[in-house]
Amino acid sequence: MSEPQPATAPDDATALAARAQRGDVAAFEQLYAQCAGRVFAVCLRMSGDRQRARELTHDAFVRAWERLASFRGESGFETWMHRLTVNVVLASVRSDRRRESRVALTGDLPSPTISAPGRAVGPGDVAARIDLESAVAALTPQARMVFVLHDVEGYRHEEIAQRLALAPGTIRAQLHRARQQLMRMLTR
Amino acid sequence: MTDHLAWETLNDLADDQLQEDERQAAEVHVQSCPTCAASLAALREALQAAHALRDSVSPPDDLWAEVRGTIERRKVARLAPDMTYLPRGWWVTPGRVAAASLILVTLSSAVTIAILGPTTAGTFASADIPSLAVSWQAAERGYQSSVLELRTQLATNADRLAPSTVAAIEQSLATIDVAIAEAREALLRDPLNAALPELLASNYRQKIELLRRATQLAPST
Repeated sequence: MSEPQPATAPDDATALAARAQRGDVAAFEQLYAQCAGRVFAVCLRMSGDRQRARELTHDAFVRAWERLASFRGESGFETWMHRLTVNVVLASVRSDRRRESRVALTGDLPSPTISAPGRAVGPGDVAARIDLESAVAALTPQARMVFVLHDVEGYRHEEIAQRLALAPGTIRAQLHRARQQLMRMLTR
Repeated sequence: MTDHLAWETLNDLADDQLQEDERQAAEVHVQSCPTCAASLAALREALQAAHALRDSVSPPDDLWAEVRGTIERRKVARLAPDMTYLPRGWWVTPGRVAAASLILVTLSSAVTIAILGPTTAGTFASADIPSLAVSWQAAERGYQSSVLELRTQLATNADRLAPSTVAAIEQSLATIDVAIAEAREALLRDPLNAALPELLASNYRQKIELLRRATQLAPST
C-alpha cells in the first residue's frame, strides 16, 4: 500500500508516542490532533456513514491507546495508526457480517458490459469529487470496502484478501464489480 | 468493431496487471476502438480521482472528549493485573495470597530501602495501601499476588539457573521496584494526575512480565 504522508515531522510524532506510552494523555491528544482527520476519513469512506465513522474513529483511538506499547517506532506513528484503523474497521465489518449474515457482493450484479462514458471525473473537479464521494458511499458495503482499500488507500489485492480472509481472485472480481457500480453512478 | 474488451481486461489494463502479450493486444484494440478507448479513459480518470480522495476529513469537534473519557474510564480497569500471566496453582487461595502479599510488601520495601536509602524508602514504606484510592488497593493487591506467585515459582527452580542469571534477574527486578516505588509515591502525592495510575500499572506489569519470562528460563520439569 502507499503509506500516508505524516502530518508532522516523524521525530515529533515518535517523541509524542514515547510520552503517550508512559501514560501521558496530553501527548496522546497531540497525536490525535495530528491523525484524527486522516483516521476519520478512512473510517468515513470505509463505512459510508458519518455516525458509524465517528464510532470507528473513537474505537481506533481507544485501541491505539491500549496498544501503544506495541508501537516501536519502526514505521511512523501515522502509518501505524492507519493500519490499526483499517484493522478496527475490518474487524467491525466481520462482526457486522456475522451478526447480520449478510450476503457478499459476488453475484449481485449483472454481467459487465461496456457503456459509453459520461461526464469525466477529474481529480481537481470539486463537483465531480463530491459526486465520487457520494458514489463511493452508495456502494454496497463489501464493494465499498474493497474499492476504498485498493483504489483510495492503495492496498494490493493480496493484502486485502489476507485481511478479509478471501482469495485474491475474489477481491479482484469484487473490485471490478465495485468499479462498475461506481462508473454507472458517475455516468448516470 | 463489434467485440469490445471485457470489463475485467479494461480494469487489468488500467491497473497494469496484464501479461505483456495481453497488454499489447489490449492496447492495439483500444487504439482502434473509440468505445473502449473512452471507457478506459473514464476508468483511469475515476481511479485517479479516487486516489486523490486520500486526504483528511475533519472529525466531529467533540470526538476527542469522548475518546479521552473512554480512556480514563478504562484506566481503572487496566489496573487489574493481566490474569493470563498466572499459572493456575492449587496453592493460590485467598488466605495464602493475603499472607504472602504481606510478606512481599515487606520484601519489596526492604529492597527499596536498600536501593533508595532510608529517606525515600521510608516515605514509600509509610505510604501503605490504605492511603491509596480504594480501586488502587484492590488492583495493587492483585499485582502483588501475581508477583508472589511467580516469585515462588521462580524460587523453586532458581537452582537450575546460573548464579549470574539469578543476579541479573534480581538486579532488573530491583530496578523495576524503584520505578514502582517512585510511581506509587508520585501517585500518593498527586492522586488526580491521570497519567500516574497507568505508569504505576505499567511498572507492575513490567515486573510480572519479567518474572514470567524468568520462570520460563527455569522450567519446573
